[in-house]
Amino acid sequence: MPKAMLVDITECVGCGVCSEACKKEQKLPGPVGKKKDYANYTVLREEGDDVYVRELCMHCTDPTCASVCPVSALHKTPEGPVVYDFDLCIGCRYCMMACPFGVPKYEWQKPIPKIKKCIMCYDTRIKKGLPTACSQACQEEGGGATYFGERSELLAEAHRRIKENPDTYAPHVYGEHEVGGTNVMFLAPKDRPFESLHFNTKLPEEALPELTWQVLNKIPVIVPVWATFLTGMWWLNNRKTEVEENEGSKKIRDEKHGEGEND
Amino acid sequence: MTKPKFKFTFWRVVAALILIAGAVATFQRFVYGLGYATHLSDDFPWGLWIGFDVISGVGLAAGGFTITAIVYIFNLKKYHCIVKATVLTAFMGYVLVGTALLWDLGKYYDIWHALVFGNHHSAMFELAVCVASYIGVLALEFSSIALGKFKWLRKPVKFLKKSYILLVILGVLISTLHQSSLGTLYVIVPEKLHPLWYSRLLPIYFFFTSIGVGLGMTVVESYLSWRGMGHEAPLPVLANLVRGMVVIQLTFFVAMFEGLIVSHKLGYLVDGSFESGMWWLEMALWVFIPTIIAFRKKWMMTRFGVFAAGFSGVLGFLMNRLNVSMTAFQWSAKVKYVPSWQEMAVSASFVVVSFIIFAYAVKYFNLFHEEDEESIEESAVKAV
Ligand code: SF4
Ligand code: SF4
Ligand code: SF4
Repeated sequence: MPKAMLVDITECVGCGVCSEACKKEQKLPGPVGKKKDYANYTVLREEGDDVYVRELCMHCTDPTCASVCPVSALHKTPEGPVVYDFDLCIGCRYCMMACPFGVPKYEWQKPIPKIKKCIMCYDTRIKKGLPTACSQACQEEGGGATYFGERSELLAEAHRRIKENPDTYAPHVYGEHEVGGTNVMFLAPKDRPFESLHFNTKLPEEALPELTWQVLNKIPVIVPVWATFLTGMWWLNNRKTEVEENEGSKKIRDEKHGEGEND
Repeated sequence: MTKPKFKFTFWRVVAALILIAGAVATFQRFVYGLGYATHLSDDFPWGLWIGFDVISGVGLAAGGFTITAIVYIFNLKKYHCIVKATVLTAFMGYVLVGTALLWDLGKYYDIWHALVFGNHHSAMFELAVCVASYIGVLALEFSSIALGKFKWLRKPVKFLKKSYILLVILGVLISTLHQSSLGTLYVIVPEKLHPLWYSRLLPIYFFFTSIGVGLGMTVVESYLSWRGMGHEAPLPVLANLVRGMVVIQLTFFVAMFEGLIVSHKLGYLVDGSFESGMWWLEMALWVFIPTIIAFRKKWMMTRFGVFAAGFSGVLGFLMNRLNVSMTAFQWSAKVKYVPSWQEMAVSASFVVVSFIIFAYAVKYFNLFHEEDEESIEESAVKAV
């Protein structure tokens, strides 16, 4: 069953222990930054009125990054995390172009750069059945806003909260349906709905890889048709010349040929 | 053939300076990395090297499949005289595109992964496979055309010529796939591309307009080789290519404009933004100017008129591909991207290199001269 995280923005106090725990777990250099980059997989976005929003990879159910990667260096694990394999990566940066949440980052300063993004502590924790470093730190030392668990259970919990406290929560679970659903989900305060917190609320509910697939799956259909047409045209047009050569005198043939060219 | 002695002309000095700058930039890029040598960033990961060298480059080399299809599949033999030149430029173009990609890829030495560890859901995988196999097809096409002059190669060349039509059909098929897949690359970013350029039909637009630019490029190349070396294809042939290009551009324009109407995007055309200005400029060069020239009989009788129409079409095409890859994307990115001098130097170096190769090829392979023994269907050609 896929693991997931739920961030209840109403409970977040902006202490930042999540980002610190992430740095330690993933051995990322430097102090905690304000923007996601190669050394910061998760950061806090300040939205005023003591509202803080965590930014991190959403671990989409049908990840755009993995679908565009030509070599499958990014892939979705059955446990939920979307992980990265540097050995396969060719550094084309299509994943950065395509991710609807602007998550994958690059080691621009290095001659041989890696793609860097949150991998939901896949190797060190999820595989062993442990919760992510950020959620554990948040529950134990922070404000207790980031929860870890089964996606279905967290989703049920989110809806329960909205139903029981309609005055506290905006009536939407961000990540339930966005781009086909994500494994990181958010709850927003009633007076600060997601639009006002710089969430992209215009994303379609259909998974984006479907857009490309609708094009690519036509290829096996088009190729035989197109090949038949081209071969047929070749046969037709060259046969015309052949017939003309056998039946007419040279002069007539030349005239006819001239007409044929102008169509 | 007269071989002029090497002279320091103005253009040669310019070319040399560009190549030197390109070499310095190359050193910086491979030693200090992309961050040092380019103005790319997390917010703008694809710049000039993808937009110009790859996306535009593949398009500009489309003459290869366009002209071979016209001559061998549609049997319009009077265009046979330009086959050699276009197949050569296509071959050269694709090899250069493949090479230029090495500058942009972070792990350039693993470029072959794209062919081995393919993810068939990725448009880029499709692109990689098609471009690689098309380079192979073009190499065979080109050898059958050009290597006939070497005696010891006669036998394999003869065999290639027999199967030439297969190569042509294969080439058209593969080109259809990868010209369109350049557009497919952008189908997955509906949020990020400016509405004037985003369309789910991008793959079709990209394929269709590549035919147009294939014709336009052929005209431009022929004119340049006439200016430089006095070799060229007959003017009526080139004028017809321009007319073909105009028909394609107009058809595309109507289809694309209908798309803007039904998706209620016309407002973006007159909002006075930078993007709308770029769109109008693109359309002027790509569609309006070539059309106006093509419908003036007098202008189409002159070498310069024909060239101007073709050149405008090529420029418009370039603008379109750069607009899709940079202008339209920048609209949603948080940063303004202007290529660094290193990026420009490397891209310009590739242009210079292609000019040099082309100039030598025109001389060495007698590009615009028809030789009877080289045509595959001799009787048909003689009939023309
Ligand atoms: S948020 Fe972006 S990087 Fe993360 S899984 Fe989704 S598409 Fe991939
Ligand atoms: S940069 Fe690497 S991970 Fe990203 S799409 Fe390219 S090959 Fe895949
Ligand atoms: S640790 Fe928890 S409470 Fe603290 S900033 Fe992170 S999410 Fe918010």
